[in-house]
Amino acid sequence: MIYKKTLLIFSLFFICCLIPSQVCSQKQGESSSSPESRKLTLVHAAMCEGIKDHRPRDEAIVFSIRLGSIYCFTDFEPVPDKTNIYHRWFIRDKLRTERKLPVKPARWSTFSKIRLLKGDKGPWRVEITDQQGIIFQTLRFSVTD
Amino acid sequence: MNELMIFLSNIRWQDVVDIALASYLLFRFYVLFTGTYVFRVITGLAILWVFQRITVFMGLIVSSWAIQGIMAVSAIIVIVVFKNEIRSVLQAKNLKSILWGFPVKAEDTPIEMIVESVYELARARTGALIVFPGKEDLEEVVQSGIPWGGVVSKEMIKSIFWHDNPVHDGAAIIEGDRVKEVGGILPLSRRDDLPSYYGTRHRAAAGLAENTDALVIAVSEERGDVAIAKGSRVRVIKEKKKLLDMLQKHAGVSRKQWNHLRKRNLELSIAGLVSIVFIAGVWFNFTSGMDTLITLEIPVEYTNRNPEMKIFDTSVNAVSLSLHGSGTLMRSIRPEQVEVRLDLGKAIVGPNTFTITQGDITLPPGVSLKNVDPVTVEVTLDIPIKKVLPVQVDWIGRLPEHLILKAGKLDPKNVEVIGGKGILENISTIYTEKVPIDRIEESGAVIVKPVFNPAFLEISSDLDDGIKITYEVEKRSNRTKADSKKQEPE
Repeated sequence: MIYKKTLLIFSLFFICCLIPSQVCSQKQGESSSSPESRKLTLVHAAMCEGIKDHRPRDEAIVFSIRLGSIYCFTDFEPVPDKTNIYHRWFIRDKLRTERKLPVKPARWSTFSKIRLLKGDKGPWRVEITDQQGIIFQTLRFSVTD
Repeated sequence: MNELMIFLSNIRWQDVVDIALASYLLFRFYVLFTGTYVFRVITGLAILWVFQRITVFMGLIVSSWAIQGIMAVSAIIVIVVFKNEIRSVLQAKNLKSILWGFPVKAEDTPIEMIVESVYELARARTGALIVFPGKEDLEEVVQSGIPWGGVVSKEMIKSIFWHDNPVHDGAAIIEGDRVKEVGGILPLSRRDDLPSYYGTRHRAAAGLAENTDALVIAVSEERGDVAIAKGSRVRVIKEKKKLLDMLQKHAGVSRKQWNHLRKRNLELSIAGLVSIVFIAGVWFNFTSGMDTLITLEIPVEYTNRNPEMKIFDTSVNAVSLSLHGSGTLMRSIRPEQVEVRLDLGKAIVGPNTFTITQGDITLPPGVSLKNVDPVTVEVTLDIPIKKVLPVQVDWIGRLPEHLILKAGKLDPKNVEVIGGKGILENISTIYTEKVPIDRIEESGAVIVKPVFNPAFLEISSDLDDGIKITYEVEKRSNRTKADSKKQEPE
């Protein structure tokens, strides 16, 4: 008898605890299931001479080789899940390097940098892609004297 | 002897056909134009040419120049002056007579029929005057003749001299098997020794016979006899056989005529032989002698290409052919006579390597191939497609230290390019020509042209105005090098 009462109390307690959490998770599930608003989105991308306070400094489309290095800055918002993005650096249509960069929820800015060598003068481009290779944006610039 | 055997063994069947054909053409030329002024003038020109070669050989500058000038003018004169003769040979004769016919005397005159007709007219006491021309032309002597053109027959002769026929008093002229003219008025003889009973008809017969080599038959209306006038003689012929003999003799059907035919055949045989010897000599001159080597630059033609594919690149546009042959042939050879054709029937998409073989080269007869350079040709074929590609500026130079080229806007941003599928798959950007930045001080715009690499890419959209670059320049922010170093990530 005592066993039956105890079981009933536990059952009621379990139901009371479970119902609000299910409602809450449903609400959370609804909000997270909106695919448009939760899609990884590139909000800003730029070639620059440096990074300061997590922001690009001296954005440009022409860089002197004497700078020694150049940066590709990218800012994503929202970032629904932890994932990787890629910066693919091309000089005259030839892939020079590919950088894999992690991005984390909810907003993430990141950058890649290459050191410029003597023979690097010419037109460049950086393709910013997701893990599937889908291009978010292509940045075009030149390295000159 | 040995050399002769080697020479004979080198003769190809084409050479034999070549000599035979050319000899026959020369022989036909002789047959068609012999006896005309054209042939004589051309013979004269040939002699002039021989003289000209002799003068050149002897180093007679002015003489050779003068003869050459005369020959150049003469060639035009021959065509202009003798155009009628040339046309008559080419138009009047049918193809058979031009190619293998021989000039024969006009259709034989039906003498027996004429003799019969003449004696029937005599029996019927119907006057008649019939002229058989010799070699001389009667146009100047016989007047008022009416062209007739009918084939000779008994009935026709009788009808011409029928009393009620308006032309019965005139003379009928028979050439070959046709009555050429009727009603002709003949010149009257003024001789006093002709018999007094000869009337106008007989005097006309005698008159024409005296003045020309024609034979004239006069049939008397009063006496019913048949008289024949030839040269200065006019005599009555009572026997048909005798008249027949005389007419046959006049028409040339006699032993003398046979001799003439034999002479003619001999003449043609000699002409044929001379043609063969002449052409063989020319052929020998062309194919023998000093072996000469020349090099010609010949463009390569590509044939039999799959219509879906297009040639996008070739390693060479022309090949260098080393040819050898006799000096005469080599001197006369022209690049248009030589062809190099590559068959692209088996070509595939992408680069193809072809080796040029003897079969790909067409050479004039008697010329041999010694070498081809290069012997292989690379041909890149592809299926043409269109692709839209972004344009990127190719900046060069050094921007002033205090400036930053902040942004650039292109118009158009993309261009549609036509090129090979295989090539365009590996191209993702079209670059502009190099744009210098050294003198840029402020924002502005510049018009540039795209640069296609490889060069055989074509642009499909209209880009006559070029690509407009609108650039934005900004002054560099003040910062320290230390700052920049601090910001550099690891």
